Amino acid sequence: MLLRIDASSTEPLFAQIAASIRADVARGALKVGERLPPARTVAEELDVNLHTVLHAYQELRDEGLVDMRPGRGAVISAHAGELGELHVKVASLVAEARARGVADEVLVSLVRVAQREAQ
Amino acid sequence: MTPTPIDQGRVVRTFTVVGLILPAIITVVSLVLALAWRGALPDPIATHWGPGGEVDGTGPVGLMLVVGPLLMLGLPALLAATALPVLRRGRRGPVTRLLGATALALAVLLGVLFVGSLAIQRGLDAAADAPSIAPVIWSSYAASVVAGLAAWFVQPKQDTVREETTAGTAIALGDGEKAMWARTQSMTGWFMVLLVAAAILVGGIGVAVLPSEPAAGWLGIAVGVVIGLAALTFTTVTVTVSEAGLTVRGVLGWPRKVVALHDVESARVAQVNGIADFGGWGWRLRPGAEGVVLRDGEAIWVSRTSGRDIAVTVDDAATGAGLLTALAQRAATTSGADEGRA
Repeated sequence: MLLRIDASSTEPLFAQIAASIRADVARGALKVGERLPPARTVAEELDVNLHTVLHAYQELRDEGLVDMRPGRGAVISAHAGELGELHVKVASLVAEARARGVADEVLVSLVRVAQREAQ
Repeated sequence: MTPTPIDQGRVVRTFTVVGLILPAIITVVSLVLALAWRGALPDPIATHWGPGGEVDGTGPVGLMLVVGPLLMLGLPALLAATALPVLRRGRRGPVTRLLGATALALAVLLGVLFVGSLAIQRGLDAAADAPSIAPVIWSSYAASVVAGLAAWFVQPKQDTVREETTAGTAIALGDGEKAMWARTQSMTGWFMVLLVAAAILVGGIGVAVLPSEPAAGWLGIAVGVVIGLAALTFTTVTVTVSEAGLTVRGVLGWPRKVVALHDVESARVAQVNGIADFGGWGWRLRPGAEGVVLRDGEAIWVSRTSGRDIAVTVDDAATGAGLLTALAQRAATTSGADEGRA
């Protein structure tokens, strides 16, 4: 699991940690059933507040990406496997958009539109 | 200094001869002798002797004729099965050479014991009349040592060959960016099962004999607990790369091994083979390198400025090695700049 945070970024630290873990799941570096390091360890190694790490883990749990089990810590959930498959499709979508000369920002707003339509 | 190239084909061939073919010949010869003598052997036959040289255990001849050859061929075959796949993959080391020598030494030891114990009982009416086994035991030791040494020297010298290491994926770090990489690595399932089974077996025997043999019982329980704890602590590790450097810790936080960033000369990805590179698996130490080798395969291989290398087998080693390289480089530049200012 590779975690990267940049204090100078406008994105909150907890969101950066959560985004790192999502990216690892998507690239297949974190597999279903794998345990995340204890929040205390992450906090010490990155020199951030323990609550920042816990906040990130809770967000991932709310998304269904990790299961929090007492005594076992945070474990990548079975649901996370689907994220990896989606990542492949999204990557090809991004490639196709670029090939058609569609700017990345436009693609993002297209996705937002599609999400609103699906509701 | 260029070492003389070693012909891997010759390494494999000589290992096969000393580790498999010769033990097979010894087994066949022993079995032929035993079958030829069968009519003249007492049944049951003496299988165990007490410290005073008197017979204190007997068994059916038929069983002896099956178990003896089975061990004589089976044990060397087990060692060969460990070493040959390693050698076939082009890897080798003093350990594989030792495995070949041990295989032949074992076959000779068991062969002499088997044939010798039958020879001294030829023509006897009852197993109890058998003379002392001591001369047979001493000859088997001597023959086994000679055979082992011969098998060692017959095999070509085996230097350790490692597959080429590759640099980890370079990870570009911004000045203000903090990063860490962590990964939990366990031994392969069957090995864990083996350890846990051993712990339960030894501990269980301890519990069972506790009423009749308290001393042996407690010893068994203690050994069972130690094996169980060892299985817990040494078979799963967490590998972390951060500003603190490379850290390897057991599940309970111990044992713990840290390589600080300033001590990292280079961090690369290597394909480690437990047998060839470290003579086995687990927390290993050999001249020039230590290893936390819980399985074969990709590993972070760190050369240290202060001493021996350290290798840690872990999945996604490229990312770990890449981050360790990036952090070490950044730490070196920063401390260099500090010294410049001072």
